[in-house]
Order: sequence, then structure tokens, then C-alpha cells
Amino acid sequence: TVTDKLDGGPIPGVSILVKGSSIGAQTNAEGKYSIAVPQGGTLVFKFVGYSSKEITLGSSNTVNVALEADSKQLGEVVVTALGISREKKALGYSASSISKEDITKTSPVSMMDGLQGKVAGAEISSQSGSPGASSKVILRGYASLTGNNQPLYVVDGVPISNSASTNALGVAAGASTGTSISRTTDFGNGSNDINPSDIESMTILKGAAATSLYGSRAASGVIVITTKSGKAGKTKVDFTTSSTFSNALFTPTLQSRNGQGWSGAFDSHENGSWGPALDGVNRPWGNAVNGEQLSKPYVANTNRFKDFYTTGNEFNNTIAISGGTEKNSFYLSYGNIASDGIVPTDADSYKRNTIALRGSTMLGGLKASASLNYVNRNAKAVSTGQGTTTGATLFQELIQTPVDINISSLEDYKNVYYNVDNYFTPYAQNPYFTVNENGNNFKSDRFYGNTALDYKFANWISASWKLGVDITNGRLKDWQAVAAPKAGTPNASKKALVGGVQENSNYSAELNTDFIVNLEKKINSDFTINGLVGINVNQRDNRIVNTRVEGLILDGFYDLSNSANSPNSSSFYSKRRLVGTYAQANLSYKDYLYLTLNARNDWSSTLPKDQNSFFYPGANLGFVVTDAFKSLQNSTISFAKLRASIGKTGNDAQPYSVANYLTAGNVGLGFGNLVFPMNGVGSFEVSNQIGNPQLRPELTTEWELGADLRFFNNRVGIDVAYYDKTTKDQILAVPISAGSGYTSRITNFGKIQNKGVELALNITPIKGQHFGWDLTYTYSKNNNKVLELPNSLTEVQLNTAYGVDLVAMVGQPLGLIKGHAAKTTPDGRVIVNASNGLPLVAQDKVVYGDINRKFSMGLVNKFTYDNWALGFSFDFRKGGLMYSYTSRLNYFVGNAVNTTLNDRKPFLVPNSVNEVIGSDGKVTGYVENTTAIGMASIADYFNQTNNNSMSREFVLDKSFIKMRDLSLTYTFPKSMVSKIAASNASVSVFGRNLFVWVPKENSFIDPEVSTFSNDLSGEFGEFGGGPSVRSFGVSLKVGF
Amino acid sequence: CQDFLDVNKDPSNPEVSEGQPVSIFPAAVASTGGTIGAQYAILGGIWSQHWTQAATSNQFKDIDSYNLTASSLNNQFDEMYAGALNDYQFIIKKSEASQDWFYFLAATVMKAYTLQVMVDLYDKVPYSQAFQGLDNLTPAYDDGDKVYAGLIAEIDNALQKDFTAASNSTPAGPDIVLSGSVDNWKRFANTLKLKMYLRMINVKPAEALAGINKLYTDKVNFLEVDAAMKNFQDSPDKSNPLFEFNNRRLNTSLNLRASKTMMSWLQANNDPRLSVYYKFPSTKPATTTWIPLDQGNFNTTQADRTNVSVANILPLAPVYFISASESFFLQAEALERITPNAPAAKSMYDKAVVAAFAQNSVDGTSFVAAGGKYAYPAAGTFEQKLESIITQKWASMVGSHALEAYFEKNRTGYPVTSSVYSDNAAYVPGQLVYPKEGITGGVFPRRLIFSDRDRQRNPNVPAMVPLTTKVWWDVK
Repeated sequence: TVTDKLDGGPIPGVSILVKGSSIGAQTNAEGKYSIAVPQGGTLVFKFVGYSSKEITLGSSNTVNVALEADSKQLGEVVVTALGISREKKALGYSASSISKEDITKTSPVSMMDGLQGKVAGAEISSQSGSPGASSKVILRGYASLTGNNQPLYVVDGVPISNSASTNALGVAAGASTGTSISRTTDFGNGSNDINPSDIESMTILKGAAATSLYGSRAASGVIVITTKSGKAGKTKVDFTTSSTFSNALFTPTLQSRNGQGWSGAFDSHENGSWGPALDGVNRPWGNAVNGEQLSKPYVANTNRFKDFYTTGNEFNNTIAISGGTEKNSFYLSYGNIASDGIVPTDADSYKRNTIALRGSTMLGGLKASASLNYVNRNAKAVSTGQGTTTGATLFQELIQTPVDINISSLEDYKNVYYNVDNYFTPYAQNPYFTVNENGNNFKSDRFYGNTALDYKFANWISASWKLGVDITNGRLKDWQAVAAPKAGTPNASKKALVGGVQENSNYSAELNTDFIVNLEKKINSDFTINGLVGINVNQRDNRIVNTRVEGLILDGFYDLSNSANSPNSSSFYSKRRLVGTYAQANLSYKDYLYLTLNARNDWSSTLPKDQNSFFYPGANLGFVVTDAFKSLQNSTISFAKLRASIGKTGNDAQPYSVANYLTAGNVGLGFGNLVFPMNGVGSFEVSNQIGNPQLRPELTTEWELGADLRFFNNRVGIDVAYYDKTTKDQILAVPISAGSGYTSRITNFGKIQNKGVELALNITPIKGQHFGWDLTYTYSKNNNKVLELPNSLTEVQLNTAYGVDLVAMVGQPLGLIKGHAAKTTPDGRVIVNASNGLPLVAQDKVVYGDINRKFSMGLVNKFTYDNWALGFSFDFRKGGLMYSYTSRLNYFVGNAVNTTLNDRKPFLVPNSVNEVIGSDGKVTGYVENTTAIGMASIADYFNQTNNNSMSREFVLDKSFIKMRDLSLTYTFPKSMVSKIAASNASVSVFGRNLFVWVPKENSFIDPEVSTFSNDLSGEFGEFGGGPSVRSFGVSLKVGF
Repeated sequence: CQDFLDVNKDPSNPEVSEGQPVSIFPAAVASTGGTIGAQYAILGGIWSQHWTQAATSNQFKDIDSYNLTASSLNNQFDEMYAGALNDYQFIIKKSEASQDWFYFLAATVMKAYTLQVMVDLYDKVPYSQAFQGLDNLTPAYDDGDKVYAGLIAEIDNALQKDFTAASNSTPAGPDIVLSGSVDNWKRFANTLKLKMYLRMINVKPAEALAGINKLYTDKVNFLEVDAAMKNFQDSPDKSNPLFEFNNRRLNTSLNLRASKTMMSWLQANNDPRLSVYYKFPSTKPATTTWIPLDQGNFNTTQADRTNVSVANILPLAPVYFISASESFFLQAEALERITPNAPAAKSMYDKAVVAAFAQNSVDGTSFVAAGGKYAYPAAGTFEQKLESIITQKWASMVGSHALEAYFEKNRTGYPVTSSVYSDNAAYVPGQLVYPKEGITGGVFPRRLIFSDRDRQRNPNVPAMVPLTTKVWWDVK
């Protein structure tokens, strides 16, 4: 019998070989095996995920073996493109395998959240601390300007949708896109619908050589997920439950020197901390109501965020039943998550129910299988970004509370002092009103799954057909309450927030089918050739209908009927189809030299009809040095493999990019729009974008060199890869001179190069009878560069907020942040306004820096002592800039620590001069500046509206080190669990995102937070984002 | 397979070939009206000193302190070219092909009007190589006088068409400017030509006078109704663009306040338009007097700064392209120039002032009567008459039309510039002052800086010119 060393349970499917012969066997469902062995022979036991073991036979006829789990060995067999399992040593490219244990160790909601910092070359982040927030996964840097740099997710051989729910949702009073600064809301992205407990294994394919068989959408890498399925043997029941509690990890650090007021004077109606020094004296504050005014000591409130945010909770349960016979198998699971985030009320909550059902049956040479998954999501998310005229947003209101006001004291927002009429300031809204009265609810039902037939005609030929579907029906309702101060009340001058309702329905469906013929031929004892040819058909449909109404007439009732204004409605459809054919050939020589050739041709509906075909080949070579030259293998060098690969992937256009269209009449005013129909007149207009009937597909070419080296009996492993990826002919709406009559045209352009190094180091410093220590270190460095832009363009703007821009510029890293600078003399002295001492603004913006990391590294430690396991990991990302509106607003209201510069005493801008201007308006010279910035204009100095060069201070270094997780697990001994009829059981306590360290200049926001989408434009930063969270939890896993 | 892949036609947007003049014209006009009537109306209103930035908010400080950069107002440049002008050009081509001379004329006039504003703001703009899409992605910028000449020629060509042909459209509702009246479009065309000739009168006097003379010898008609976009509703996204921008969509509608320059003039003259242009202070503590703010004094800490009168912007106010009163003021000046001291000039001036009052639903007849505050200085010098005409025009353009008052100040020098700031006892009401927080060393702005965005996209954008450099017709 072969058993697991840890829990003593049997391991089915272990392969047993007699060393030096071709005699072999496999264990059955009970872990038993039998094999005929010559006397004195040696048996080799091998199984995925376990250290292999050699036993030299003695006299006994029974050899019982306990195999030890080994996470480093997990990658021995990996699932590659199209769901094909291959021996890892045969691959000529890097493929990172992730075990189910790594994914679920800290019971995350999203499968990617447990992997931050653990995979070299993969930058994984969560968009915010809200439950169910989007995950961002970027493999080997940003290569595409068009927006999609997220990898393709492939579940059991079928691609699934990973679209972010944020992008589709226009929000009341102004359509919102992923890059909007107004009211952005994140309800999570598609890949977060997968229950991590249903995952058996995950492979991350980063390079083009690995992904090109998937075609168009794989240019940014592929995440291949294999789900759990039933195994022959006794029916198993697995139960997992966890409870997690969270609190705020990162909130702004504020100054505690000056209190409420403006221009240095105390003013009980101000939303800023520009008042006098805090002196602890009791002062009246807020508005007098019926002649009575509140009073409180004038001291800094340092617990403001701790008191405001509550403890979040998350309950995560999965029960799975699986089993089968030699011919049939089934797996059924139900997962449930209920989560409420740290914002008071359930305004940030997430509920998810998942059901997974899979089964397969064998009938002679025919295997039929099916998989069906249902996901129901019910989410509420706190809107970020700027408030609109229908209603405010929470984080913006929180910032606009002077440092001496205890936010949590405002909780009773209907109280006469804190209500809409009498709230202490007319410039902001009570945050508790915002969070209680405004809200949203996103619900979606999603079915995805596949059905497959496999038939083995003969030993050398088999065929498979697979049909996958992924259908999501999403519904969003979003509302804001009327907040109109009554005439004659203290806040009567405040503009009323008119309230609004939006209904959005979003249907998407993807259909994907593959027919593949597999061939295998052993040519002679040295050469084996196998391969496949296949055809793929893919169709994606999307329909969004959005209706909104603003200006509610009845308080507290949220329906499209509740307004004097007619609703504003729009619809969006898209449909795309793709047909592809592909082939792959694998040649192996003597089990140490492996060559794979592949090629694919696609025909896409989104490209011009007569040039919609594109072809892209790839090749990779794996050479196992230690197998070729056995003499090299010794106690120092256990294994050495070299890899080389080159590959291409192609990508088609967005639908409807080839023609010119009319669009519904809509005029942007700067603030607001004129939208047709107007007063009974309807209109279209010529779109400002020119389509392109000559579009070509965009192509990514990548080559990669790598090595997989292991030393000291696999105690030290090094996996290193160097890659160089160039994406050219990108399809993008390129900005053009408005003088042409248009503002953009869709075109192929440019070249972007990403090259970098990935290193993963696995070390087992201690491997004892009882005690073990495993350590993994990863390092990634990616350099990217924009090599070409279209003719005559020096830069392309990717995102912008308040005069700070994210741009692509030739010869520079992708994603420069540009903004205003102070006007200077030719010799670099700052020119200031003689009347108030504030710097003047230079005509041209300057480059502040770029968004890219200098490097990223991760460290994972795992200690085991008998049945105890302790693990923790760190994630370190160095370099890169981000824009922070949270910073801007904290400076504006005088809450930022730096606003107490020079104790708010008047100061001269260092090294400053005034311009001398002649009567013709030209500068004739400069004089030494003597105008100090006085108390009255210190606030202006820190306000970008008055001092544009200040925007440099809102762009932060986004470096951080995070302690991602800490977990302690106890696995109950077999002897103990069998008393409750269980086969295994373990309990863990864990923490996620326990600590974060950031550079001193960032006292505002967790640098992982973004409100601008989870792609390239999201790297720009955040606009009024919320805090990140730390969590603690306990989980229990029991198997029967 | 090719049929299977033939699904690349957008179901939500018609292809451009399906567009007809009638289905494009309203949105094109709205692009002109939305720009001139919102962001440019604010620029014009502040630079003409009808309004100034409030001391309790921030929105328009850059305009009021002349602190605009190359990236200011880029969106408006794009909206005028890609939103308005390109659509007019589409209609011009489409209607020429179908011999629909009604839309040919209407689109030509709107194009000329829109471009005239752009030239006057930027001095040089794309014109002769513009609107060619992929055929010319980097159009050259033409000199202002060349653009004027081209536009006048385009208008003349359009006026010669056969407006009785059966191929002409006869729209009513969709012509949101002049309700389908060919006669009024001809008048708009002639009035626009008149305005352009007058604008260039100081730099090309012979050519301008010849043009004006020809208009009169041809006995053409000028506008007697407002050429304006009026079809607004008081509901979100459908009302007057300045109201949408400043009152509905900004988080405070209290940025634009009464400038002492304009308010003191109205008060000195007891002009009833005071209470139409501004709202009486309603905030606490209660006040019994109108309170203006000195131009550009937005950093003041004076106690009554929160009580300064707010601009009265209404949701249904028209966006004037050329109002009836402006047409009369232009004619008064023209008449005075071609036949000095003609009585017709005086009566045209009187008609203009009365129309300007009537536009605000008040009666101005007593103001132009003999001895009235605004009586025409019939016995005065030409400059005195011009000062009256332009000053009255300046006072008539408060609201969505103020950019024109700013251009006219630059052309004529009226209203005159004060030698002292408006808080000085020697200040004469109505004289323009250099704003308190101005950053251009006492020199007024004379143009906009070329769009930074266009400079990134088009190497033919001319070299940078500062805000204070005069445009081609500005020689006084």
C-alpha cells in the first residue's frame, strides 16, 4: 500500500517502476499495487506532488511506502495549451504551476488573491479592500495600449470571460467608464467567480510560445485552470469552512497641528484644517440650531478612521462530494461566501453561491464528460471617485472633515446638528448620509461549462470534441438620495443633490468549440513524435441596456418612474466571431531533447473581410542536460535543463472598427452634456472616430531563454527565464488633430517592447524527520519601451485627471506621468506671482516619471514540524509612480502632514524671482522675489487650482512591502480523524495582508488601490479610493 | 466561412453614409452652441468683466487671473472642429450632391460663424486643409485674414444657389436656429459678412469698406430676428449649455459673480437690466444693497464676499449666434462708417439698444430718447459714436454671448481701460480694470494659446504665441 506520509491516507494512481527496466504498475483506489520484481531490484515510486522514493527490495513480498508531499515537485506534469498534460521537463518555455493548497491556504474569495508575490513575472494585485473587488494580473509587463493586458483564463480547456463589471456600468448622471473620475464602482471581474476550492491545479503560461495555440486572446498570457473531478474509489465528502475578520490596513496619516478653519482663522463651517494651531480649548463648532451650538475641545482626533470603519467579516464554506468507478466519475460542490466589508452598513458586501457539477463516463474507447458551473453574485460596492450632481461619494466626504472632528460622532445623520440642513459645512456631506442613503446592488447569474467527447481509435490516434459556453446575466441598480438643504437653513447655499436611479442590464455569452485529432508515433527507441491538428470556432456576444433618471420627486423611493425628468436610455451590442485552425508537433529524442513546433491561423470577423486571416507559428526546445550527460548528475547537481523558445501570437480588432459611423447626438460642454433628443428634435452626428478598412491584426513576437537547475538532491532549485517580447501593429484609436475633422482614428501602429528576467529560487534548508523548512524566493524585472508611435505623434495620452496625464512617448517606458511644473527662468529659478508669492505655471507639462516597477520580489517561507505547518510570505514591489486624488484632496483641505510646512508661517518660495513685463506683454527681465506666501494664501499654495506645480506632490512613489499572509495549520493524525469517520482533517489560523510598508512620501493610500480599471489605465493611480484591509481568520477542512 | 464571419456591422450606430442633413444639422448646431454658450461664454463673460470668480470657490481662477496654459480649453477646440465644423462640412458635401441648397446655405453660414469665432480666438487655425479626414491628418494652420477671405467666398457661393428648386429641404423643427426660413438664413449670412468686414476694418480698411459698401449697394437684408439656438427644456442635459455647465453640473453654482466693472456701470445708469443679469444677494446676513466684487479679487477676505451677487443664468435662455440687437449695432457702426452722420445710423443705434433691452423683457426707449442716459451722441465725433455703440453692445451681451464683447473691446478699445483699480475712489464705472490677481503684468489677454493637444498631434501647429499677443485684426 502506498500512503500519504502526513495523513496516512492511500494514494491512488502512484506509478511504480522497476528501476532500469520497463516493468511498471499503478496503485488502485485503495493505494494498493502488485508488481513482479526480480530479487534485489529497486522500486521507484512516483506521483505528482510527492517526492519520489526508491526502495531496494528485501525479502518481504509486501512493500508499504509512505510518500511525502513536495510542493516543489508539483510541476512535474503540467497542463499546457488546450488542456494537454505534458511532462514539465519536456517544455521549452517557463510554466509556473500552482497547487490547490497554495490557492486556498488563506481561504480567499478570489483564486488569485492567495498568489501575490509568489509567481515570478506575474504582478497580481487586488483593486481595493472591498469584498469581491477586481483582481489585476499582469504577466511580463504591459504590452498593449488597447486596454486588454489581462491574461486569458481557460477553465478545463475552455476560455471564460474575465470582463470587469466596472467597465460596463454607466452610472446615474454621466456614463462611467473604467477611466472615469466620477463615481466609479467595482463589482469584481469575471475570474473572481470561480470558487478557489473547486480548483485542482493552475498553470500560468507567460510567454507567446506557450500560449499561441490559444490564439488571439492569449497575447498577455494564459491562466490554465484544471478543476477538481471525481476519482475512482470510495465516495468522498470534503468540507471546508472559514471565518475571516478584517479591519483597515492603510488609511491616510493626517497632520495634527492645525484644526478646522481657513486662511489661518477658525471657522466652524469650513471643510478644511487651515485654522489656528490646535490648543485643546473648548470651542463651539458646527451650526447653531435654535440658538444652541455644540462645543468640543479643539484637539486632533487621531482615531478618526479606526472609529469610523467597522470590523468586516467573511464566511466561506464549500462542500464537495466526489467519487466514481473505473469508468464513471462525478464531482459536485456547493460553495457559499457571505462577506461584509469594513465600511459601516452593508454598503460594501458580497455574497456568492457557486455550484459545480462534473461527470464523465467511458463507453469502450469513448469518453464523454460534462461540466456545469453556476455562479450567483450579489454585491454592493461603495462608489469611489468624485461625487456627481445626483449624489456624493463616501471617501471624498470623509477627507473633507477637519482633523479635530471625530467622524464617528456624526453617525446619527438625521440628528438636527448632523442632518442635511445643519451639517457643519455646506462644502461637504455627512459621510454617514452618503453611506446610508446612496447605494447600489449588482446581481448576476452565470453559467459556464463544457461538454466533451474523446474517442481513441487506435493507440496512435484519438480525437476529441469540446463545446464550452459562458453566459452571464448581470443586473445593476444604482441610486442616490436627494439631499437638498431647506431654504433658510444654514446650508441653504449648498447646491442640492438631486438624486437619481440607474438600471443596467448586461448580458454576455461566449461559445467556444474545438475539434482536435491527436496523433502519437514512436518512430524507434530514440525518437517519439506526437502531435495534433484542430479547429476552433468562437463567438462572443454582448448586450448592455442602460437607463438612468435624475432628479427624484419622492424621497427614499428608487425607481425609474420617480422623476419629473424623462429617462435617458442607451443600448450597446457587440458580436464577434473567430475561426481558427492549428497544429502542433512534439518530437522527443531519448527523453532528454524535446522540440515542439506549433502554428495557428485565425479568421476574425472584426478585421476587414478580405484580409481577416492571420498566421502565427512558434517553436520551443527543451534539453535536459543531466539526462543527456548522465555523468553530470551527482550529489551537487541533481537536474539541469535548458530551454529556448520563440513564438508569435496575433490579436484581432474590436468589433466595428473598420467602418465610419454616426453616433447619437451628444455634445460635451466641459461640465455636463447636451443630449438629443432636445425639445422634440432628434439628431445624430458624425462620429469623431474614423474607422479603418485596412486594419491588420496586431502581432506579438517573443523569444525566451531559460534554465531549470536543481542542486543537492533537489534541495536547491533555480528556475530562471529571460524574455524579449515585442508587440507591433497595435490596434488603437490614435488621437489625431481635430483639424482633420476627427479626434481619433483606428489604426495599426507602433511597437512596444518588454524584456525582462524572472527568477524563482526554491530552497529546502532543513529537511528532517520532524522538522522541515522550505523557502521560495522570486524576482522579476521587466523593462518596457515604446519603440514607435504613428507618424508625427510624439505621445499618446492614456489617461488623465485634473491636469496630470498618463502618456506613451517614443523611446520611453510605457506609461509616463506628466503634469504641470512651475515656470522657471532660463537658469532654473522659480518665477512667482509678485502679488501673492505663488509659483507661476510653465506653458508645457513635464514628465514626472513612469509607472513601471524597477523590480518585484517575493519571499515565501514554510516550516513544518510533524503535523504542524507555519507559512508566511512577503511581497516587495519597488518603484513606479501613481497619481493620487486622495493626496490632492488632503492637501486641499489642509489635512496632509506636509501642509504644516514651516508651522504655517509665511514663507518665500526658495530661489524665486518675479518677472518684469514690458508694455507689449513680453518678459524683459527678472527681479528677486520678496513676496512671501502669507497665512491667507498658504492654502492656495497647496491647492493645484492656484499653484499648478503642486500636482507633482499628488504623484506618489508606489513602492511597497507587504506581508501577504501568515498561516499556521495543524493536520490531525489519521488515527484521530478516523474516530469521527473522517479520512483527513486540518485546522488553520491565518492572516492576509497583515502589514504594509511604503515610502514616507506616501501617507495617503495603499499603492495597490486603483479606481481606474484593472488594466493599463488603472496603473495611473486612484481617484478617491478607499482603504485596503487586513484580515484574520480560521478555517477547518474535513474530508470523509 | 466568410458569411459566418460577416457580422461586423454595428447594430447600435448607423454607418456614416446613411446620414442626411436633417439628421445631422441639430447636433452640429448644438456643438457650436454648446461651446460658445458654455465654456466660451464663461471666458467671454470674465474677460469682458461682466462676471468675476467668487472668493469662496475656485473654478475659474485661471481665466480670471489670465493664467491659461497651452492645455487650457483643448476640449473646446476639439469640439468646435470635430463636433461642429466637420458635421457642417458633411452636410455641405451631402446637400451639394443632392442640390439641397437650404442645408447648403445653413451649414455654410454655421461653418463660417463657427470658424470666425475660432480665428478670432486663435489668430491662425486649420481651414484650407481641414476636414479631410484620413486625406490630411496634419492640416496646416492658415492666417486669419486668409480664413476670413475664404469664408466670405463660401458664403457668397452659397447665397447664389437656387432656393426655389424642388430639391430644397423645408425643415421647421430640425432647423433649431431659424425654423426653416431661407430668408432669415440669407440675412444671417449677410449680417455675418458685415460683422467680419467690421472686425477687419482697422487692419484692411479699404477691403473692409468695399465689402460693406457692396452689401449696401446690393441692398441686402440683415437680421431682424435672433439667430440663436433656443430649443431648450428645463431638464438635465437639455437646457441652456451655460446653465447645464455652471448651474446643473458643477458642484456649486456660485462661481460666477457680478464684476464691479459691469455692475457699477448698470448702477450708475440705473439700468433695469441689473436685476436681469444678476441675482440679488439672498444669503445671510440679509443685505439691502447689490454687492459686486472687484474684477479678479478672488482672494479677498472682505466680510461681504459671500454675499456678492451671483450671475443669473437661466435654463431656457437662448444661445445667441447673432442677436437682432447685435445686427442693429453692426449696422449702426457700418452706416456711420460709410455715410458719416447719417440719421439712419442714429435710428439704427436706438433700435439696437431698445432691442437689447427687449431681449431682457425691459423697455429701453427712455434710455435712448433725447437726454436719456444712452442717447446717441449724434453731434459727437466718430470715436464718441463708436464708443457708444460698442459700450452698449458690451452691455447687451451679458450671458451666453459675451465672447463677442471681448473681441469688440480688443478691436475698438471700448469700454475704455481704467487707469486705476475699481476699488479706487477715482474709478469711473464701466471702465475695464486689470484683474487683481492677474499674472500677466498688467497686459490684457488678446487670444488663446494654441492647443497643446493639437500640437502633440499635428506638427503644423505654429510656434507658441503668448496669451498677450494680439491677433491679426487687433491693431488698435
